[in-house]
Amino acid sequence: MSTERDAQREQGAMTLRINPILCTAFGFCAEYVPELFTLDDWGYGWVRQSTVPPEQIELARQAVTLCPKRAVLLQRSAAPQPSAANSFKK
Amino acid sequence: MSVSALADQDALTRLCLLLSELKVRESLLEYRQRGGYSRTAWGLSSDEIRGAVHASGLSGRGGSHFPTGRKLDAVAGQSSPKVVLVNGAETEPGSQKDRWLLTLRPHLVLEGAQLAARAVGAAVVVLYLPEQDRRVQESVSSALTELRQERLSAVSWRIVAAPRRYVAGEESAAIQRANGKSAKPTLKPPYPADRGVGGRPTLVHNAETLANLPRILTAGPEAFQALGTPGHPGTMLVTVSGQVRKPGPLEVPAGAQLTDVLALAGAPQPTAIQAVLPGGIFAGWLAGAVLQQGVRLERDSLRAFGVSAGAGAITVVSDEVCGLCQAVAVLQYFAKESVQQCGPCTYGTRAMATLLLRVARGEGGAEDLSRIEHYATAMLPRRGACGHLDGAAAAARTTLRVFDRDITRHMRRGSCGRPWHVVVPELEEIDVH
Repeated sequence: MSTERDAQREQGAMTLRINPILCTAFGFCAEYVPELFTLDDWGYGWVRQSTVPPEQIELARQAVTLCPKRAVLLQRSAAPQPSAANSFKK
Repeated sequence: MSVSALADQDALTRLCLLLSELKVRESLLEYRQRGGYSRTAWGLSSDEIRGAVHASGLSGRGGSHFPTGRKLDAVAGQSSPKVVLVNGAETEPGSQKDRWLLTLRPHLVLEGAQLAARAVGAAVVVLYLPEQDRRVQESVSSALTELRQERLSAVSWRIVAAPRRYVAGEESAAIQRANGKSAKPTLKPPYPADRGVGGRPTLVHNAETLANLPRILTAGPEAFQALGTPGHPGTMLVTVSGQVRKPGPLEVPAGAQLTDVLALAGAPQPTAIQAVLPGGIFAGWLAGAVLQQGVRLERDSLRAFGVSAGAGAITVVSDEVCGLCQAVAVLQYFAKESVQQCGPCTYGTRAMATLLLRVARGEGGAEDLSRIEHYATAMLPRRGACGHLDGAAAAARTTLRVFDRDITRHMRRGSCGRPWHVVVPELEEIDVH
């Protein structure tokens, strides 16, 4: 769909997100990798920017390893899917 | 196309419209006399069915507006066995249109589901129906009995009860329920098209979406496109509630002018309307003042006015009641209905409701409003596993803009001078003091 997304994929950009069901607000991500994470008002990890440039992928991997709940997800940027993210189907 | 022009359509293109003429459930015999289970539709191959659905431009009627043809392709391309799940949970407050359809014309939905199963190569159809609604369950059960007696059942059917709570209608929650777990959403991916009921690729569609298949495949995609607008063809079912004289479900051309639809339901003059929820509480508030700028019930038009397309649950708030009261009730509902799986949703929905109530009581200040705005636009969007939190954020964000004058009055005096009374259906009254 978007050529920008394709370009990112070719350059090896990845998507960083937190599985909100698993996250229980240990806060290790923001404490040890403040470049990529901060905390929200309730202490839950909050990804600053979901697209991780290649030079920060190593940092993102550290956050994945540090999280006691295994809630940090680093995924290859994927093509849009049917009924993606913000759809709230009923 | 105007709303009244619908009445002139012939029986085939207005399969749904007959709803307003029916008082009791349509039998299989009656359904077939009106064009159901046609040779035309059932003579098509699975590829031809998907091709016709693509050509029709049909999009999901449950709130996503995702192209139905693309969803069919995504599941058809997977390896067997596959499942079709008909989502009839309809948990949006005040919405009755799917229930109406399933009670009066269940065969339209069941044939649509069987055609979808044929299109993707599924042998099992799960019917996800509201557990509290006996009429829907009886109607669907009787219809299934008729299909079996007439040997028109090409799949095996399974009925799953949808609990009466807001997020139970979300597609991954429906799949969880069908898998014997509690009806709570899961993180995507995996998407249902990859892993759904029993771990199998699953096509999930709202009941109304599937009800469109028989007419598209019988009368052809062109007849379907002759209805509605180029960007949003066909018809759509809506439920109008709130301060109108004739509340209830209606079928209107997709992309209809909102003012036309409101007039059909006996709403006050647009100048006497304070605000409208054009698509349900998760789609956001629209100011009454913009009604005459040509808002249509179509994704792009609604987006231009700052709300999302929604699921056809329209609520009217006149200028005779406090508008901020409605907005607080909506945010409290989101907080109460959070299943508390995700921290940002549990605390974020609660925080927004608490802050807005404080403002309504005249105890809040500008810093509370900026906090709500920060939550709704920056801190909370896209941070839940499902769209519940995004819906709450959209409701809060549009509240600040649509009810800005009420907010100013409430901050000064703790009141806008109008009655504090909730008119949005199914929402609880709030104690303001």
